[in-house]
Amino acid sequence: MLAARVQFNTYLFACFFALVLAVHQAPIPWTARKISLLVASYVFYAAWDPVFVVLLWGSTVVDWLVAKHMVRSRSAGRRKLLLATSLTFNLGLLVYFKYAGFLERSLASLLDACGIEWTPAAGDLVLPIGISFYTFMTISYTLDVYRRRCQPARSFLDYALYVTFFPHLVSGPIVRATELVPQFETPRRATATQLGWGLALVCLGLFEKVVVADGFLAPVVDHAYALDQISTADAWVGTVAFAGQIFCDFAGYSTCAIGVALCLGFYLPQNFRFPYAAIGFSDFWRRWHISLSSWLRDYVYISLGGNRSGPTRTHVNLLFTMLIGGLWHGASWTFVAWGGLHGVYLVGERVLRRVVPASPVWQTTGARLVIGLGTFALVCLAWVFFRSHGFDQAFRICAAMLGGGEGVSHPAWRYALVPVGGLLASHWLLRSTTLEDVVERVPWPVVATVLATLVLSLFVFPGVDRAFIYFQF
Amino acid sequence: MPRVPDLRWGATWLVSFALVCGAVIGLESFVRGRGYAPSIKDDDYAWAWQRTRASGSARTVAVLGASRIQLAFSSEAFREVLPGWRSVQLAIDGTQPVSSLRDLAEDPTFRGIALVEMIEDGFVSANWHRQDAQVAVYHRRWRSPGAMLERRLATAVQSRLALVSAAGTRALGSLVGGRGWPAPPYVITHDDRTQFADFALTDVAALRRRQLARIGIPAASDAAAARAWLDDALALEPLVAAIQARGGNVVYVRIPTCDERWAADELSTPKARFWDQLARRTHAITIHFRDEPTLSGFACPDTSHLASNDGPRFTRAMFEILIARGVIVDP
Repeated sequence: MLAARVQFNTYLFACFFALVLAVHQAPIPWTARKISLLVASYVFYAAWDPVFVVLLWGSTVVDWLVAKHMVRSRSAGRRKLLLATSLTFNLGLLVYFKYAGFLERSLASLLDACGIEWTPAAGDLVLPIGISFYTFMTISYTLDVYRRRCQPARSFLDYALYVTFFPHLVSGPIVRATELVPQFETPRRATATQLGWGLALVCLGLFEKVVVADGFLAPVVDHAYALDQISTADAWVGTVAFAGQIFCDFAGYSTCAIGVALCLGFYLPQNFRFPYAAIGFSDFWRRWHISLSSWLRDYVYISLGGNRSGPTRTHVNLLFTMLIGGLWHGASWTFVAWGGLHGVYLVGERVLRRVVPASPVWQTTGARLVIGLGTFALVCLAWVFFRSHGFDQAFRICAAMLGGGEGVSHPAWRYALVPVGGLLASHWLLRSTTLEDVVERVPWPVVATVLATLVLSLFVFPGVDRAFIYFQF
Repeated sequence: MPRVPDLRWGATWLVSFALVCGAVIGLESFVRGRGYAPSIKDDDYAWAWQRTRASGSARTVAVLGASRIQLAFSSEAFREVLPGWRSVQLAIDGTQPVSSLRDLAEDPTFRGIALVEMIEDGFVSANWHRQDAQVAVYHRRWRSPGAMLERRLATAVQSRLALVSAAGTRALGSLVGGRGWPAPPYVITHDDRTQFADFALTDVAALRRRQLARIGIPAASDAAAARAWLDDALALEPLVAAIQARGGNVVYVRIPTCDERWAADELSTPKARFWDQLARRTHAITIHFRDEPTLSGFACPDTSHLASNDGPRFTRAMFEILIARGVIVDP
């Protein structure tokens, strides 16, 4: 069951946020305002399912206590034990709620392949929303304290607010304690400029999610991925449309989250930087879901040794890290395959860099465009595994994309290429700049008209009510 | 700290707000001029919200069934005939209502009248679970307080703005494809989940063909099928008894179907061997349109549904029958 009614694109959130903003702007002490933000964050989470607030609270308290005791302890053994406690608790929650059924089913399949019959117990665990995000945040906190990269938060209120801060709580960005806790230590309200830009980001994020992802792209994707037979053209159209949908859905949420936080005077890190203009896969992962890729780099890849032990070990570390990244997205082998593909892409890129001689040719606009489009095409191929219900479907669609399509084509679906084409063009135009730089150069009446168009489109193209894709992670 | 564009944000947002307000007013006038009307999104939470209104008062009529009663039931006519009573629309398009009937029977606080619109197919046990999903959402609603609140807020907006239900993507596609502005949907849903169908807005002939294609060529029934059907229908008697024991009642209503559809119904489930047999044995009140002159003579534009313009007359006639039979006293 997914009944995510804490989404930003709801009337309820608009009322909720107006109230939170009003209280935050009120002339009351900073501690009182932080408490109101904390209460609002728990209410935000409880609106989806009050029961799982307990898990959120548990994760918060356990890691607060672990970090506190860790920093007081002089014994390396005790510090390791405390870290293990935090990791066991948080990863245990994640494994139990997210992966238990998957592990059981996989074990049953493996035993079945060996001729042993075993049926896992029927269960229907509801996945607590946001668990993949907030457990990663609390793990990063205890790891950073263990590695002495940061001091524990001085105030439990600040730490609790860091974990539960509602703009990022259910779908990121995955924020480090060093980025957010210091902001809670100093009283702040949004300036008029921050409020104005924050609201603009919220409108942009809602437009991406509601109009582009839900309104224009999702219907084509759903129809294409529901076909038993699919033509080559439809396989490409459906997959490219999904590339657009998942970006607009996820980046839309992140943009809303950053905008909402800014309206309250807080900065959340950028999570997407025009990823479909990436030139190569290392570049892609510096632009796509930046908070997750940096988390995986710092806490998995570097912990495994990174690139310090020679090329072969580096490749293994990369592959393993990306497999973990795939598994994080969902309890299914197709997500693992998606991660594994990206691992292969990254390894392949490293090999090519060593084998292919450096040349100025690679820096020409034409070469960069070709490599960039090639990167996009291979990213789309990987998206097939992300979107498909199983390997049968994934292989069928990949085969269709590579020329083995069957069935009737649907030319009408190609309208979806218009918004995706626009998306690609905008990414390429903006890849070396920031949205803030661009907006600042535009006359304010034009900005006003664009904002009005974005808001009006939410009325005209309300889309089908769909949960944010990343809510299921 | 990331940069924030330094613009005249106050003026920017004032101008944006003015532009949006002007455009919304203009577009709302435009779509209403094209025949569009506000229509709510009828989802599981809308049903759950209505379901919460069914419990408590004995002067409540819970309307169960499918699209036929959603289109044929008029809340205004109901209020005229029974001014001191409350109606709750629990019918769900494309389903059968036994799940809802069971839910009301198991609810000790439901003491009203369950008006159950069901064609013969609905009594078959294989169709008893068609509304289970909605009932489950209702019972889990305490775990989704946000969803219930959102549904209320969304209903408030959707029931006032035709623009948000005008399906902008469909309109854009039609305009881009050179087919002009699309006709409005012929069925709209009100905030109390009753629906209104204006068949003048659609291709009725095509609808009739689709309805008849759906039922195919019906097989004539035999005695064994009739017995099995009656056994299934009478297996619902404990639900009827539970509601009656609390002072409420259950009314089975067979709403009109017409022309080829009625002919097909009579071939597969003839009234004399099916409905009339149930009417003789059930403790529920039964009303069949063929037995009541005031319920006959309605046209079904698509052979299966009344036009909603006839809804008030049909609703008045139905409840006047219940008052005349003493099922409803003190209207």
